[in-house]
Amino acid sequence: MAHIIKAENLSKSYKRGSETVYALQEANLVINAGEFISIVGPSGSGKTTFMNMLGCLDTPSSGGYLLNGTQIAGLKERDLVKVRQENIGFVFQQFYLLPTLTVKENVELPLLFQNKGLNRSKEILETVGLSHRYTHLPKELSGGEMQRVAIARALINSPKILLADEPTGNLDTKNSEKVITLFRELHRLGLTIIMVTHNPELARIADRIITMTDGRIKTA
Amino acid sequence: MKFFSVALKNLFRRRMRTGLTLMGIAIGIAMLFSFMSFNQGYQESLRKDLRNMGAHMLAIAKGCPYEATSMILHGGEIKDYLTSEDVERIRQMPNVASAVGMFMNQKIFPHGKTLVVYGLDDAAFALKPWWVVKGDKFLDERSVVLPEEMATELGLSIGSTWSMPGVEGEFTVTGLLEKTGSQDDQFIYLPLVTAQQIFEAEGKVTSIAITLEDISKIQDVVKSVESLPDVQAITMSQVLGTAQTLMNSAQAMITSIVAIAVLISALGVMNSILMSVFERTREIGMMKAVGASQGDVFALVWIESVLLTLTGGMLGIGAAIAAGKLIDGALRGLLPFAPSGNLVAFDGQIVMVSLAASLFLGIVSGAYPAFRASQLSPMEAIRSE
Repeated sequence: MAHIIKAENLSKSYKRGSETVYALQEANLVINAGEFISIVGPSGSGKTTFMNMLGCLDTPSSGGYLLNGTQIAGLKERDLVKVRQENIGFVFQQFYLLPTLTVKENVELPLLFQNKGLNRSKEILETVGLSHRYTHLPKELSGGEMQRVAIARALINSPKILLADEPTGNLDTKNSEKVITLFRELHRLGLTIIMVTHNPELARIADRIITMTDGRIKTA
Repeated sequence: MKFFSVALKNLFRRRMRTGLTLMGIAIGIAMLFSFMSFNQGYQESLRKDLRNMGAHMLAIAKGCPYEATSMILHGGEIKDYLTSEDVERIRQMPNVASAVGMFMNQKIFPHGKTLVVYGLDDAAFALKPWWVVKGDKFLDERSVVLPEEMATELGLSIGSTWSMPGVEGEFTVTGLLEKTGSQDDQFIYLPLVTAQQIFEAEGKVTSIAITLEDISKIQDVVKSVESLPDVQAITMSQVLGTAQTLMNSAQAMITSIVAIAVLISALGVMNSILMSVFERTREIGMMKAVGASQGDVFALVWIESVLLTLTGGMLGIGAAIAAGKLIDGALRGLLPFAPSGNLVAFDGQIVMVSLAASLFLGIVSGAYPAFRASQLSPMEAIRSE
């Protein structure tokens, strides 16, 4: 299978006083298209930094990162925006739905920022099982429903990779299960999923678990 | 879905804050609008008052030009008189069509009100062809013509007798002057000779109203008139200029108050939008993560700011129009000299300028918060650790 992500000696460092602190140190990782990956590790292990890097929210201090054949290292913010629009769907722990917009409008939010004629919001909301909530406001939804709306929003651009940051961190067991079921379903449909969590149980549903400590990848 | 509707809906999230900010803008723009309307109204009424003078120029005794201006427009006491001979001399001058001596002085009535008494003859009436006098002008030396409103207030009608404090004998109301909408509605009209007698100034006049055969010769006539000893000529454009000079200091003060009000409301908008940007740091991070560029975020916040100031501006203009009469009354009490027409007059242009000012406020005060928002990192949304 073709690899969609290839990180080579990926490092992120910053200065704290006179010392250089490595948030991420020489990470090497290859992810194939259609894989479901979990990244686990304790707080401060560099999960978030790695996630930012993979999601093209940040650029590395050194090393290379090939996303779908494009070298990300050294790109300007303007180009990173394009790469994100075309390749990546984000799911956040806090959902970040805009409270003043309806479910439909929240799902369509990413379309506001690009000239894409195609609007599959109805179809996607059906996939996440919320077509009956089309015109509702976020405050009328349960936490689990909110996260599924956020997942629908992540899918609206037909991304190649879904990046989920602790997606069940704010949900109870029942709602967590629904979200996990949905991830499995999306994975089955061929989507590449990368999920950051510190919940080992949740991590186990992935094809592969990547453990991080002190800014390094322990097992790949 | 458009940027516009996202920005608009966001303003409804913090209704109280949006409301208060709107109020600040509304007050600032209302002040600006009222100020411009006032300027326009003031100029218009001043010109109208001058047209109602019915003369091209006036001759008065030499003295303070400010006092003279106020006297001409408002009525008042003048100590230095011209004489009937002056009237006659001016009448003989080339290019002069008519020269009419008028007598004006004031009487303080027991209830504290100052009334201006005007002494007129038939020639003076001829300068005001638009006057409608019910009844007769003057039948004898003891006749008085009163403005209709004043007569109603005093409970007088044609044929009533009326006495003036400190003056022996009674007057008969022979005519009522229909409302002219000008300063003329505030005077009491007596025959010229009677007025001169009352103020012990027989044969004297306070001003000479001059009309010209050819208005382009006005400077020549000014020269001839001023060749008479102790006489100065005032043209209508000079009166206009002097009244305007009187206004300038008041205007400078009002301008600075308006500027401060507008500045404060702009700071209010900036503060309010900046706060909402800081509160939404992570949400804005999310937008950037899902594909918003710096420009997109800038535009969203900027639109919010402009929407806020434009709405506030419209509310302010509406309020200022609604309160126009009140403002008129308040200004009248404050001004060194107020013409008799509407002090506050607005038109489409003033509305457009006020709206443009609101737009400009939004653009300026929204720029910094919008810039701050655009510089936020998309990483703000990722906080799993």
